[in-house]
Amino acid sequence: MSTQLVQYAPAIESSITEISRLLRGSYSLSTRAVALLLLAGDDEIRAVVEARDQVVSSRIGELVAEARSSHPEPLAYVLAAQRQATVERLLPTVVRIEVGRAVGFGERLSQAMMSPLTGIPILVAALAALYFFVGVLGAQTLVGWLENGVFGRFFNPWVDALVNRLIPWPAIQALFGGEYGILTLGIRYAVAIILPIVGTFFFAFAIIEDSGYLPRLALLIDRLFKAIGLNGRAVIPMVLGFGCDTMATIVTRTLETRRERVIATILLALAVPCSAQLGVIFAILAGRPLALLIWALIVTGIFLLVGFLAARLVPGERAAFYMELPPLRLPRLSNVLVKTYTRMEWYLREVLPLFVLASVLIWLGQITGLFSVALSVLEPVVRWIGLPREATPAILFGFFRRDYGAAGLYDVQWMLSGVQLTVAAVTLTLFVPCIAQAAVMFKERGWKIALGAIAFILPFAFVVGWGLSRLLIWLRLPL
Amino acid sequence: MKCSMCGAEFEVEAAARSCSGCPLVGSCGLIRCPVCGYDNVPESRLLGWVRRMGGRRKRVRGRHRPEWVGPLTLADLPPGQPARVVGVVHEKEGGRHTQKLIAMGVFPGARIELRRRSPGYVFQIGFSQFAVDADVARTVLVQVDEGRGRHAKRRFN
Repeated sequence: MSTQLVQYAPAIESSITEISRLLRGSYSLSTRAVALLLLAGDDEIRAVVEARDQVVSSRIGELVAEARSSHPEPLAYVLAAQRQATVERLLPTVVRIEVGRAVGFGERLSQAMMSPLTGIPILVAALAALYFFVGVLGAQTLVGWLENGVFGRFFNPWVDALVNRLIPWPAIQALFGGEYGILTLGIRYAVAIILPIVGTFFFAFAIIEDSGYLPRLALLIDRLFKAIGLNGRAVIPMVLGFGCDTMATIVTRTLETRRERVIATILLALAVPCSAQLGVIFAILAGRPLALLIWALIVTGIFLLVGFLAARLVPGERAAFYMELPPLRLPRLSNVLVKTYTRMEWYLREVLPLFVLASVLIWLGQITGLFSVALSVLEPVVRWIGLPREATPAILFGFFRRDYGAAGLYDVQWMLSGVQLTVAAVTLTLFVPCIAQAAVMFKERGWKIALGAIAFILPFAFVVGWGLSRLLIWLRLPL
Repeated sequence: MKCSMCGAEFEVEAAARSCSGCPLVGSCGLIRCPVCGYDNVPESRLLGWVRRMGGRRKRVRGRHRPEWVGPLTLADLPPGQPARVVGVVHEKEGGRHTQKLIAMGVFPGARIELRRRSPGYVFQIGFSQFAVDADVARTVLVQVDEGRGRHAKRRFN
């Protein structure tokens, strides 16, 4: 065997030689590498060796156990430490390291982001900037232009005229055009209301992501998240949830323990509004700062309260927090644009079929009469939380997509009083996850937890809505 | 704690044993001194917390070197104090902490410097900064590095 770059301690070297001599099967790695992985306790390679070298696998197991018991520390750690020592020995011969750089602006900003005294104002400022970019520019300016201008004035009348000319049957006409048509409702919601909001959010998120702010935010918020059974790492799925809860639920995979994944999934489904929903809620409550404040306080309070209770109820071990803090960087525009485009493409590909499907379902429901049955079932509940019956379709749409529901609310907002809008916004925020998110919940967490979460969220949203409407009426706040 | 009647030092757990025979069995909120039997009122948790906060502030601001030199943990270091890793407290074989420490490059002999301890522990090792919580910081055993000044943060070779 040729001379090795990394020489381990003699005891380990002899174990390596013994094990690699026993290996007979063919591996894509050298036998030395296989032996090292076995010693480090790699489960994957152990399974491969057990399959390919059945005869000697028990003898190899004995050798590994022997080497393990002769070291007080885990072998994986010992091996890594000895490799690191080799690196330290080689490094000065090939790299010159400059000494004593001054503390720069980036380092100072980084410290300011992590210190609670300055970090919390920075967080508030970042959220405010996010609001102006997504909530005002995206949800109001762009949506207004697309919704009223492009779709209201040109696209929808044009589609209606075309459909009326081409299709003689009113039932089929309603499938494509009219109030709930695939083109006039499905495509309009997706392109005119959701796309600008999601697009601006993903753009802003890509900037935040590339700047290196998120790990610092994770550190700042770690203590608070520990109280709700998570740790600072969970800040990434949570912030991403403000973009798209479906995507965020998939990202909860990066959390370490099952307990954290379950709690994060429930909180995402319950109390983290996605950007589409958020944008529409901002648009609805835009002229009413007090209502927006109440909405924010209630949703944040429920997020913390449910998290706090879940942390006590969901069994499992406490996860440790560790994270690399990369240096702060100025994001590159090309990277940000590529990321935004990739996420938007993913979103459209995932969302458009669902919007079309929802339109078709509503159409089917309408011509078979099921829609009106569902509406009449839901109506008492909607009335119970103090909303007019016109808000019922918006709540029903909420079953298809959360943003879809909020967008439906946007259509009838002129009918609702300030109290009713606040209650509707809170209920729709807490309300069931959209179809895509529910599907991901079933896939990622299993049907037991997904069903349990939905069974909890559904009545809970309405009870909170009811309580809030009583409270607001009693308080007589000028909303 | 210290009995406010006779001044005897005792453990709170030991005091609970002297409660046997009392019908309230420990749910009275008082701590009976095992020496003289006086029922002490425990210190208010709020006051204790305030006192601890005050104590911590002072220690951080004072920046003087810890009084005992030897294997102390990363969590005990004042920020800016250069140190070396001397070892690591492992959980059971291949525990989750171990994998993280390997990934962060926390090996004996490595130079390490704590940068901040609140709201979490931030340390520099090599050219990388890492943020960890107290649980992880307490598993890293360190030794104060005498030879280096406070601004040696980039001097790794």
